[in-house]
Amino acid sequence: MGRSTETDPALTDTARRWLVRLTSGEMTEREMVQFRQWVEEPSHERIFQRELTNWRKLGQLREGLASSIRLPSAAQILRRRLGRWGRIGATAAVAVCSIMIFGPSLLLRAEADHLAGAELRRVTLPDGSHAVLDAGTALAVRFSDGKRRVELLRGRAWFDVAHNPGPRFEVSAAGGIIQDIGTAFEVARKGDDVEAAVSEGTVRVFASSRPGASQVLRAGQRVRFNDTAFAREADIPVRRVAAWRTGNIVLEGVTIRQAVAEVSRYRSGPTWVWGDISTAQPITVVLRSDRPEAALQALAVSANLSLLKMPGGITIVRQKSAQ
Amino acid sequence: MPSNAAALSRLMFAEERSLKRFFARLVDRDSLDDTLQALWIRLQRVEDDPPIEDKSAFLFYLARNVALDQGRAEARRKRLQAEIENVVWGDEYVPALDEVAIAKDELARVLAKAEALPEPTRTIFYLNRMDNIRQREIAKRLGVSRTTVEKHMRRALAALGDALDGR
Repeated sequence: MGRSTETDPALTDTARRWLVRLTSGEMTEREMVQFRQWVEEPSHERIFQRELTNWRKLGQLREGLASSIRLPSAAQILRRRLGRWGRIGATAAVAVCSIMIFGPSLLLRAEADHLAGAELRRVTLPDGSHAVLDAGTALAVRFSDGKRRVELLRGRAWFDVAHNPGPRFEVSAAGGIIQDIGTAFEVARKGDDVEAAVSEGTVRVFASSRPGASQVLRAGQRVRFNDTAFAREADIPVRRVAAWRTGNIVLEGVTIRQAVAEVSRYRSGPTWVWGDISTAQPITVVLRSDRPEAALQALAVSANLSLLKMPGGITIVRQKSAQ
Repeated sequence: MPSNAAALSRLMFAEERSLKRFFARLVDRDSLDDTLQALWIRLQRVEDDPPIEDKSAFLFYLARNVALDQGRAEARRKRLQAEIENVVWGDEYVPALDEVAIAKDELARVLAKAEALPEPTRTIFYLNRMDNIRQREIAKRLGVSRTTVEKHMRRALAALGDALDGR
């Protein structure tokens, strides 16, 4: 263990305290100055170096530890939050607003009320309707004032609406409303646009770009709208509506770069692309979102890429060097 | 509530969308709601004397000031965060790509220790270290205070650090 100061438990403890502060997301500028002063002392720096190396090494526990971590399910968290504010139909004017973000991004929005997860989630809404949320999806539940409404903040979701008397189930997204008439349907946010597609039954779509008008959609029909535009899209086979919900990532005519980006949404660690990995031919593939590592591997083999795995779940994707 | 403040607050809610578009140029997308709230708090301090002729112009004048403050605070936070990331993940103290792989037997030992951590220490450690989730966020999720989260992180690091140091 070397010099005696390096095994000093008090100094080791101080170094670890600094690490906890540094990685807390709460460190202040003033603390940063204090840290810099503390670490200037060479014996402190040596201990800090050792503990920092340990901190980085601990990333390798991920795989082994993941199986023993039991996070509350999205539905449990949703129930817990609803419980706090009362039940559906409560007359209180409080907007019940629970935001769940299921996403692989590591540093999620600091103040949002969210939940990370790189895979699909099936949640049961307070009225018994079901929703399947794709990775990276954020949904706010706003069941209040006699409304059954959820807001799609990010990503895409497929809804299977429970039929019961009372207000119609609605999904709002980017100023538009997709209202259930008896249905299963998908709503997806694509940049500023919203896309709605029906897999069963009928919905009615209201968009702010078409005040006073609405569009009825039946199974297989789609629309795309935003603040200023509204367009019917080509019909698609019903089984292709929200095909992602069964765990298939269907990519048609995309570049390898887009395919890697899509797969990386389902990985728990960051995926970095190094250099130019474009290939001339657009590709069409069907991959499994529940096995993102295998999917990435499959893409790598087909496009002659190499994958470099780093501590902390980071994978670097790059073109194989010419042999 | 003084009537200027009341009128400006009403106007603020009426103009919410255009205010947010206005804010979007000065602050992060994620803090549009916070900025709006800061503006509302600022509006409550507006007095009735002198009377305000053009309430809309005054509203946007205050909105600009609030957003500029918010934008400056965000810029400082980002600078600080970048400095911290550099300490933790850069090569200032430890070469970034230094040999940090754990030997197999060592990994097994540390993993055993990690699995033996009591709850909620283990879950908190996992969320913070593996998923990079901020302590504040973890506290919210698990329904505990932020200082509790920090305490559990210190415990986890003490146990696992000792295991890595061979103690």
